[in-house]
Amino acid sequence: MTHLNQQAIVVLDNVDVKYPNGVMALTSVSLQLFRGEFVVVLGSSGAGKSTLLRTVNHLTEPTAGTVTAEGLGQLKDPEVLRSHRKQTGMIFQNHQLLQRQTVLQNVLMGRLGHFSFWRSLFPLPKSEQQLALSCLERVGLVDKALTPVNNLSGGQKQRVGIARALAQKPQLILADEPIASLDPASSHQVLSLLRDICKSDGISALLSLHQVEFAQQYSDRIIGLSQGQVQFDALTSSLSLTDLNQIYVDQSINPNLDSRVMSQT
Amino acid sequence: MIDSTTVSIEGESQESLLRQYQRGWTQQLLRFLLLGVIVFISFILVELLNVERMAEGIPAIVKLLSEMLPPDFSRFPQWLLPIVDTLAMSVAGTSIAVGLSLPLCFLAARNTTPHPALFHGARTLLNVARAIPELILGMILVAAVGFGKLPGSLALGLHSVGMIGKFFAEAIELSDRAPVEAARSVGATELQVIAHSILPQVFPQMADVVFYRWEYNFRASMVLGAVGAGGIGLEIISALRILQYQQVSALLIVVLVMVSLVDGLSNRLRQGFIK
Ligand SMILES: Nc1ncnc2c1ncn2[C@@H]1O[C@H](COP(=O)(O)OP(=O)(O)O)[C@@H](O)[C@H]1O
Ligand SMILES: [Mg+2]
Repeated sequence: MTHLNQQAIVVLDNVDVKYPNGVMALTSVSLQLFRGEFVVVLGSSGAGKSTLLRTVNHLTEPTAGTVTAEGLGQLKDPEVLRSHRKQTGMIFQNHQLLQRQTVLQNVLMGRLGHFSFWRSLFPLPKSEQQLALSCLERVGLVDKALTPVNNLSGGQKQRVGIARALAQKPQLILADEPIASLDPASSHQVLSLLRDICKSDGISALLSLHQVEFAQQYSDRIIGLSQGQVQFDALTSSLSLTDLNQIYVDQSINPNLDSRVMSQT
Repeated sequence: MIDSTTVSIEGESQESLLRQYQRGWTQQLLRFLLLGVIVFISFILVELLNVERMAEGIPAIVKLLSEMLPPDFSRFPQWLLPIVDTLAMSVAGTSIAVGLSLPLCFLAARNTTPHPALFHGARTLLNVARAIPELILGMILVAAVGFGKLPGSLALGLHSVGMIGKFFAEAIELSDRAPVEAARSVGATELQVIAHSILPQVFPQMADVVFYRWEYNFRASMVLGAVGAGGIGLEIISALRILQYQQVSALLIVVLVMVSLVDGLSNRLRQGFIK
């Protein structure tokens, strides 16, 4: 692999995730994320994409192995974890917004990590509100700042999610199937917006997708995940369509596809 | 061929279906009969079926009602302060309940409790509070701290915690997990998660319960007056004791108007919070 800028910001080392019900969602996953990279995790449903992304900010904790944030340390440490989360934006498939709150209130949630509990009970300083507005400007929603979220369309909600992540001034953005519930036009809009912002701000991104074409069009690097294991991890330019489709083919001809699920019962 | 077999199977299963239906009907009838017997026994025990007592009682009630008319509002100015007292008791009692419920409900909700032991402790506390009627609590507190609005408010507050805390906890348990994850993911502390992603979701339900409870507490505070907690309830009891039935009816009219006003105001405020 050749990376222009070889500075890793997050390192996963031999990470296993076994859910309490016995499902082995990730098996010895080791990978590095580099500064400024736009990386897509590709895999079919149940491959472990969400688990992988959630492990990177410990919304799901690994049962073995470590996640290390460069310059901070291992995420096991609660103080390290909080600092890491502060600088790691997360965009969710279902946007995870507070529906009745306004767009601005939701974006300001991205700033919570920077304030104490008591301070956060009062309106945040004007500079923070201006920051939130500027993030909304970048996703083209500044005119909706005072609109309750439940009045927005799916694509607009996803852009609020992006603005919330941007408000964190992140060095890494995790996005779990950010376009899964969007039509193709909104999907392209959201992906190119995300890529442009990340590229201009030097933010690394780790996205999960299940559409090969989108992955090929937008990513610098693709990680193929199948049954909780990394099948390939390479620069997009070096991967052919046949390579990419392999992870789906492997799945469909593999007789043990459901073995992990069945072993739990 | 296929037809003949289906018919024969149907003939058999029809029999058993009808038998089951018949049995279900008989069981239902027995249940109603049992209920009827219980109601009948209760009527006998409370002397509703005692012809002699009813024959004396009904005319006495009619006579008392006639003595209540016309309502006598001459003491109305002296009732103003007790009305304010009763209102104050209901507001203070409800506020005490909210103040105690806010910390308790997070312990009593499965998704926010820090420890299972605290969860069970908090739930038990809420159940006990709900189980003791405010009238009993009022009598105990009057015995402890003496007559007045203070024991009345405390009794309302302590009893209301049971219901308000339980509803708060249930609203929290039903809240959407998604925004909670979002808050965690930006590095919010557990307290911030509660304040910024759970509270905004449950606030409308909380406001709804609180205003409903305030209406209830306003009526309950009049009853509490009867056991020495003061307010308009005490006025009613005093008027009854000195057989001033015309004042009693005037007081009941005042109460009716006040209850309607409180209900209306509470509805207004509730709507303001919910939208
Ligand atoms: N909270 C959970 N508890 C138990 N099993 C889970 C949980 N979340 C996911 N899984 C299982 O782990 C595997 C990987 O899931 P996931 O990471 O959601 O995959 P993907 O996002 O690629 O669809 C699946 O078999 C899924 O059923
Ligand atoms: Mg997923």
